[in-house]
Amino acid sequence: MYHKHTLLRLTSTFIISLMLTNCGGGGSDDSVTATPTGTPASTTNTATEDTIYDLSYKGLTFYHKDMPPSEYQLNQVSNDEFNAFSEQKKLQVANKLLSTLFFGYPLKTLENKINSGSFINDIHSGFTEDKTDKAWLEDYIVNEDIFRQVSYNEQVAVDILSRFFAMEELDSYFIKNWMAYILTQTIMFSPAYELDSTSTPNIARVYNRLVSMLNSESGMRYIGYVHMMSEDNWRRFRSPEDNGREMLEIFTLDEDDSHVPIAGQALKNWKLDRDNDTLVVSLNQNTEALTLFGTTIYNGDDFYRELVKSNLYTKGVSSRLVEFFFPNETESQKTDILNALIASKPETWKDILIQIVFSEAYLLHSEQAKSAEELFFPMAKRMHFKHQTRTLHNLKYALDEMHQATMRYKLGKLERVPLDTLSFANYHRFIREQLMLKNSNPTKINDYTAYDRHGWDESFVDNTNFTFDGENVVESLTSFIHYLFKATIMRNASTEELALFKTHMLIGTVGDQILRNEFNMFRTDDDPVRQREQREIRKKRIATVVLDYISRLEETYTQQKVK
Amino acid sequence: MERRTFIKLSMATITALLAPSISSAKELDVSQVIFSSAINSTNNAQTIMIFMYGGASQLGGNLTNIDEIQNASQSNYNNYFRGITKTINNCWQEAGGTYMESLMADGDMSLFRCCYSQVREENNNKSHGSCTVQNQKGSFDDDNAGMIATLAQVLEANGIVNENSVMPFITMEGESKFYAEGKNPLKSYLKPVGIDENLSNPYSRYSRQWYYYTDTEQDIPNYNNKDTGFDAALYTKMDTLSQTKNKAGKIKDAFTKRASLDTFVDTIANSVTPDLGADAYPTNNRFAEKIETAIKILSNNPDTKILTLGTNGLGGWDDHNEARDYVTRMENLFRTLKSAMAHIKAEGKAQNINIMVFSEFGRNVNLNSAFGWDHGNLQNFYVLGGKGYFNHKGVVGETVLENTGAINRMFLKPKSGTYQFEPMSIAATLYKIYGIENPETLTNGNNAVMPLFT
Repeated sequence: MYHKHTLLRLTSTFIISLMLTNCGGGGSDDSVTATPTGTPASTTNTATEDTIYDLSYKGLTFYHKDMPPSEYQLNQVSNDEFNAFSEQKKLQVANKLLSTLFFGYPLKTLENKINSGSFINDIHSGFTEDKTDKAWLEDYIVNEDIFRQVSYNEQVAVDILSRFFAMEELDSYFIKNWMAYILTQTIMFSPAYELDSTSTPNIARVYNRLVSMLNSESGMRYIGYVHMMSEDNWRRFRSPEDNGREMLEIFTLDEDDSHVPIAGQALKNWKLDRDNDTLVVSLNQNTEALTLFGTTIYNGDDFYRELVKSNLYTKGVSSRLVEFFFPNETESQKTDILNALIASKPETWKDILIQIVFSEAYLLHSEQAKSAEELFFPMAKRMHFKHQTRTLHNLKYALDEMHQATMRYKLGKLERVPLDTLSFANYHRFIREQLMLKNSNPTKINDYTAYDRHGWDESFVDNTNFTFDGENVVESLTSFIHYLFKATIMRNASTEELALFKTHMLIGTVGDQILRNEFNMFRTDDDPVRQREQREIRKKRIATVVLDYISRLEETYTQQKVK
Repeated sequence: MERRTFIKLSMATITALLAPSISSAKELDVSQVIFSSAINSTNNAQTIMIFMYGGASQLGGNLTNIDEIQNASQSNYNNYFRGITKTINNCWQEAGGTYMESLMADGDMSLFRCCYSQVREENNNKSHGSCTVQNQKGSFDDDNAGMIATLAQVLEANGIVNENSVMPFITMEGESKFYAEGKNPLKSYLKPVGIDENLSNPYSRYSRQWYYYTDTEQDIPNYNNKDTGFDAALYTKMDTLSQTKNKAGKIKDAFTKRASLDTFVDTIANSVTPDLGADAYPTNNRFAEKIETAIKILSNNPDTKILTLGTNGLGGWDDHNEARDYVTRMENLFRTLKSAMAHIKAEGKAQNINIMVFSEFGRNVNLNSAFGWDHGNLQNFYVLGGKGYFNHKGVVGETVLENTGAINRMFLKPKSGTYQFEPMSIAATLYKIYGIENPETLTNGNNAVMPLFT
């Protein structure tokens, strides 16, 4: 009896074989069959769970186990190292790690997790756990009463954003979605829906295929091979010479124009037909022996397969991801990081991505602008943010305006976070107006169409989060301001910042100060219900002013170097 | 001589040729730049730089060799394009050729047909990434600053722009390598600001929320009225304090410029385009809106020196397949440029404002199996306006067809003895009109496109 995962992988192999057939991905003399030892096998059904990692096709191994972190060559922030950090540094590192993964916890929860002493290990182990009710989740994010479903604005991309907003566990499903998302932002796997030759379903096809293949433990070479052979890729790079050139450049960093005609000849029978931009591989394949990647190739299948098998592929894809996560490091630093990654001999995308994200080079030493996803999703979780039906559509529109559009660009996000004044103005405006200054109307909690459902929840500013003491107004205000800073940017307010807010919100002489009426979160009323309402309104005003200020801080938009 | 030996020798030659320039280009030394304030002042130049991302085919402006091309092409040009018509100067009539001819007849445009990189030819480079970077930097040196960043520092060193200049450099395309910083950091006020064609104003902030006002401020009648009120002082205090906390960099720069951009955008949005009659801008065309906005900005703000944009609204130029779209795109591009010249003239700026149009490279001329063109080397360089300092010559340069015989390897090249230049000369031309008298020191030894100045 096959185990569930084995069946999943076998099914995946079968489906991918069908996909390749459908997109004309053959072209080779041999059909795509799985062979445990590299020798021909009749069907994939001969594989068992023990042998599945040996399945290969002409030397291209299908499945790989993720490398254990102990084999990473890039220095990692270990659990012990993390535990030795100061409280402030722990918070900053934890927040940087989580926000990179588009995740976040409310402050108290985060502090508890940090204080457990196994924060880093727990995050790692969470990636192998399956906590998400996927059936519920996938129905939930397309429930039109909760998440608006329309025929425009690339709904499938909005669904992907909705999924990140809705996923509550940083588990196996989450991390596979995150890896797929990161890959589709890069030049390697961007669905490129900006092109006339692509269409919205290409977003879903590329993204979902990545998630599915990651789920079945497909190796990074096999995933790259399947992607290159796909119609989705051919809709992006649309002639034999174009596709050959770009695959060489993108995945192996080979810009030598003299190699392009060779690739073009191998792909000479591949064509994106004008009829619905359909990939067709005709039968008049090249028969002349060609030399590339240090081996002999004949046709398109040979070209793509040998490309992903080459060492240049490992260097190429690692380099693309180093550029993505370390945009501001010196060339020398990037080279060191790249060499360490390559030395670890990665065979899965997780081997590279997780190795980067948990590295000292990234968590402690790098500094770069946060992408809008790295800011919005974690902050939303920290604030118990409530959405309304249009919220995620608005996020997607805003990403376009920030020039951080997801999966749109032909060459991916070459500049992940553009910081020209116009792009940043749109970024700041979205964060300020849609995230920081909006609080959710608690009476609309069940009305997803209500405009004022959108906003941070009352629980974000619950009195249990700070010192709430009517006998000590100034200390309470101070505590609340510190809480808001710490919950959002992981530090207390400075003396000057406290002074700014206190000057505005308090009246009276020092030692005898009270809150101005509009900020008096201790206001009394004979009617206890009305008293609570009035107190909440005033407390939210304090929070709004403080969060407005925080929206003006560069550190809000930055993955910071941790000193 | 074996091919490999030849390549090595070529590389050595190129390296030797470039070495002195490269070493000086890496770190801008403004003391080595000979600058003429008089030329700068006389020209009073303003530039719109249009970059055709993707690598635009040169055929729209050059059908000289089309008969030969058609005979050798993998796919049939006439069948696919359903007729190709040459204009009197061998432009492609259906692909903007009529407008090109009109612009040249009016003495408003030069069309250079031989912008060709011998260096790239010998280095086997037809890659989007590196060619774009090189062309936008005006240098083959990876460490060089962008051509506009370089010019900005020269202009600043010579007192032409300073911290009081209002938006001297504007981008309507987001970030690009035109503004890449080299080893010398670019001061905040020299960095480009971004504006979009609709003059939408993300720089504005609502700042009349009543509880942001102090009790004293609230005592003033209509204190937070949208039209007659005033902004709460707290907003400014928050900006000031946050900027003391913000580290130097692009985000801090963006916050610094926000308020002035808010005002600037509103001012430009309120300006009106003169009646251009038959040359009115095409409607419902985002690219035309960009150009119209660009000219409004330059006409209303003499401090703006250079404005860069791509061709968003028309589409990209990487026409590997279905090149029929190229014809429409070129037609829309040059129709808009015709309107732009009319607009510039109506504003009385024909002497000052110039438009430069170029790409990372041109294209292979074989119409491939997907009915497109793959990467080439030779491209056209279109220069419009700036009549106070440019002498437009119409068409300059002649090409020949090089058919290698290999599948899909058919390129246009400069005819022997014809005027040709490396793409770096475009940067040199820009430098020259702003007063740099030895621009070749900044562009790996490549001089300006000299026929424009003779």
